[in-house]
Amino acid sequence: MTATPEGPPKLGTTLFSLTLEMRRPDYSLERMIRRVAELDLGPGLEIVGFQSIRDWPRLSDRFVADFRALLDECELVPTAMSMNLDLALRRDRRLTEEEALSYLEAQMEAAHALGFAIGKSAILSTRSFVEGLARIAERLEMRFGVEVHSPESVDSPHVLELRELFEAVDCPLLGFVPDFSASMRSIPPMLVEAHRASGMPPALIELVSEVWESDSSMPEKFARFAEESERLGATPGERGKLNMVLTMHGRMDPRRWEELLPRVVHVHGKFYGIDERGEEPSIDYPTIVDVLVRGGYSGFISSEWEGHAYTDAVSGWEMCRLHHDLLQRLIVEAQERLVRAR
Amino acid sequence: MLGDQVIADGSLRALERGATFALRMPWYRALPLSCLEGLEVRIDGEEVPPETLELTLAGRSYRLSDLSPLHDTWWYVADPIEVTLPRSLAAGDGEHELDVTVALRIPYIVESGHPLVMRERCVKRMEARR
Repeated sequence: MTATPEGPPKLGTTLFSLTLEMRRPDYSLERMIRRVAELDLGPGLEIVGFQSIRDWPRLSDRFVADFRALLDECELVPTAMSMNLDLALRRDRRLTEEEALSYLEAQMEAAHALGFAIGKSAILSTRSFVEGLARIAERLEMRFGVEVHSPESVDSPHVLELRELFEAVDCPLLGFVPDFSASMRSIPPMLVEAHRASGMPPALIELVSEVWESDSSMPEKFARFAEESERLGATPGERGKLNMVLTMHGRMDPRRWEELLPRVVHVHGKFYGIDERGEEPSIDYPTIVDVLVRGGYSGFISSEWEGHAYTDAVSGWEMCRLHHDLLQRLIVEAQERLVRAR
Repeated sequence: MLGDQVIADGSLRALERGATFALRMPWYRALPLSCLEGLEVRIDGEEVPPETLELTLAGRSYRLSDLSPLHDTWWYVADPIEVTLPRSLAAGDGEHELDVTVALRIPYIVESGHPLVMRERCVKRMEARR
């Protein structure tokens, strides 16, 4: 019934969606993980090492054993460990390439100890760095993905450079993690509301929306917004916030993810809100899920709710539940279309 | 949203000498203390000289000028930093306005060799507890 013997995409959740919930005094990583299972937000579990694990990537044997036992008990699968390459870790200088590789290697080893099959981080786009990364991935038998997040897209210069390097190094363990922030159909309505509520002048919100919807390149958009917002008297603070609107939400055609699929190791199901009809108003999920199912993607999609950056009025748990309902429905529909087409 | 929580609600306390409040991480993940590049505190409109602030984390105390080399001392998201200021407050003397701006280096967002330094300001009114 599906395009590949491995089956359709599998669902999961990244604890990043619960960024506000985990800051409450009653938070513990164990309680968060148990709640993921209770609300049926698995089977995949993604976490951000530096967010959810104290002393990351230094782990005690006790922590490793407890974590693995808890995931087994909850019947959850550790999918991707979200890591960071802190090139500006030091105030006095940037990390050297060798230090940067060791910094990721320590995190890959920690992820491996916890049972994660995939590591995810930004990387340096040099041949020697990618070769070093390939050696680490091969030694640990893990896959590694670079997130393609707005303002990047499948053919932005940095991503093209990495695509060429991955081919040249010829390591099938290295790939990408699409994040749907790169392929949005509108600025999230909840974000527009949040800016309005905080007193952002309506003329500036209109301007940023118009610039966002235009067909020009990213640098052209930034230039036009800078020029016209200055004419409208925007303060530096207002300009900074609205520049983020352009940076964080890309307008790539979602069908273009298809060309990246052979190199996709994991997927970030980015979303901002689910409306009363159960749809994500700013992201064309029907098309995206169709691309994934037809393309035979059988890995995990982590529900990643980013709305917590703009509101604390809704529950991240509730949002992830609605997102899972949407994905489940769309995967079934996409599979049915595939069967009918045969 | 995290910026609204930089000053922990109800955390202002009057000490024998000075006052303290709890400073919470304005970013979603742990960062080394080296990333805390600046901290400006005003209380009731009056600036507290930054060099007089004392920061306590995990039982150790620091001045802002100590933080630069501490790239392996981590400020975890769940742990507030206790900030002590040499300003005497009387408990029960009504609300005080605390105005705090944090400058935080985001070590993985680096453009042309320059890291992003985010400034987050949080203003809250609260009574001082003893």
